[in-house]
Amino acid sequence: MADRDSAQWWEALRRHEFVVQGCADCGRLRFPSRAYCAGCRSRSWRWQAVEPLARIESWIVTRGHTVVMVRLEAAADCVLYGHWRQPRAPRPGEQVHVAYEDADDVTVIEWRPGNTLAGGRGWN
Amino acid sequence: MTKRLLGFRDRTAVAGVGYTAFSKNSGVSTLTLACEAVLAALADAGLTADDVDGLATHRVGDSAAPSLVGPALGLRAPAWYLDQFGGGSVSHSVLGQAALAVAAGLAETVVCYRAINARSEFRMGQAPNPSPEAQYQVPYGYAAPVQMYAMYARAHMLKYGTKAEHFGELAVAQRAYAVKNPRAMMRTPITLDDYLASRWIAEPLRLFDCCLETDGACALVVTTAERARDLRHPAVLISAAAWGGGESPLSSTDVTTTAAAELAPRLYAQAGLGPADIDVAELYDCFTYSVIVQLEDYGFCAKGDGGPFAAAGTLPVNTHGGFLSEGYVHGINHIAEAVSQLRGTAADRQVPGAQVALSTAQPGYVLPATSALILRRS
Ligand SMILES: [Zn+2]
Repeated sequence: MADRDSAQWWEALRRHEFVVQGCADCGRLRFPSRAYCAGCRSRSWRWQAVEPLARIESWIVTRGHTVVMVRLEAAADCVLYGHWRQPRAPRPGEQVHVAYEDADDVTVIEWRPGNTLAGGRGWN
Repeated sequence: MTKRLLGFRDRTAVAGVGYTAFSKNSGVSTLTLACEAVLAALADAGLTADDVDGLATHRVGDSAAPSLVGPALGLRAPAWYLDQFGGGSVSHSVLGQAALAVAAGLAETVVCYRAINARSEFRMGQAPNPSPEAQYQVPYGYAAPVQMYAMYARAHMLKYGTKAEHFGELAVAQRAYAVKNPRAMMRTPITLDDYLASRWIAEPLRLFDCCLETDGACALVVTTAERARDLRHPAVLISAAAWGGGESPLSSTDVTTTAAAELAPRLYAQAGLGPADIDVAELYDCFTYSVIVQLEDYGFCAKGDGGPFAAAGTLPVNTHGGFLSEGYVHGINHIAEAVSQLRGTAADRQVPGAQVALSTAQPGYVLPATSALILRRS
């Protein structure tokens, strides 16, 4: 599943670290992982921890489960997907945070309502 | 950057159209389908395989290449082949590139074709998605085109108030056209209630939002405008052909706008025309939402008004029934229908006096690029 551009991102997710690439020259954040900055074409970058917070942009119900599409609050051009496991439907624009879902060989994302920091419970 | 267009507009024409039957099981190979459609298009133009010096197609590993079809038909002078990798996003660039080759004098008679057994052999979405972006989607059970279109359709509904009824009226209208099209696979009329009662495929999209799966082929003969005027049918000129554009859906700041919005001004400028000049539009309709967003991005209505505009039916759209009701030949059957409309041979579904047609490819969601054509009657 992971490729040569993305392996480290998946490894970070496995450690429950939420990172995206930050351009070392212009600072632009990017996701998915790739070598070049689309803004300044620099190849210098570093992993950057960002708040694992996003806003619900859309969702579908497929084969009985809900998949959400979210936009990172830290970078408006970073779109991610994830599971939605709440008993209610998502609300458009609502804030969500990452919960890490560990399977045997990979960790994936469940998006949960709200900002856990506000509840003082940290990011997990 | 303003680009000078060096002698492309109206230099080439579509002179022949050919089809196989559309079915759920052709019982033959894609090579056979391709040959049958190519020969039918040549016969329609009043030409033979001995006149052909170019062949062009697009594929996703699911069909016969030009280098297979050429020898199979005994082409004597195969001067130019195009074997484009890609699906619905590139469907219209194949004809555009053939027109470029003819305009440049590299070939004189190019047949473009697409042949698929998309029901009985290679169903779309079953091959692994080659895009690296799939790794961020597949773990959540998000992989099929219908799921992606459902996601974008909901985003549009949330942002602009687009309603299920807007999708439904479009599906009903396209079915009404298909009822008048002897080639169409689905010829029983449907109502808005039928639409609303159809089952979810990926909510918010229902069965009647979705294209058919079709075995079949279609082919088009491209030649110079001068030569086309000496052939059997009124010449249908290729006024503009554009492709490219687009942002990755994972990096787009607005998923309710597609690559078509970037492409449309280039396309219209090539033709020296605008949306108000379009008499009939054959728009890529893998799902109903695709049409709605393209009505906006090709400038027929304001951003966000595509739903009500489609439901009102003021612009004739997908007069063959589209992928929803005629059949799914990956885009080329939309171009073929535009040619029939401009020839004035579309019988019961003819748009009176149609002079200019727009036809488009997948607008850039599944892959971030699109392609489109403007054709006009000579
Ligand atoms: Zn940069």
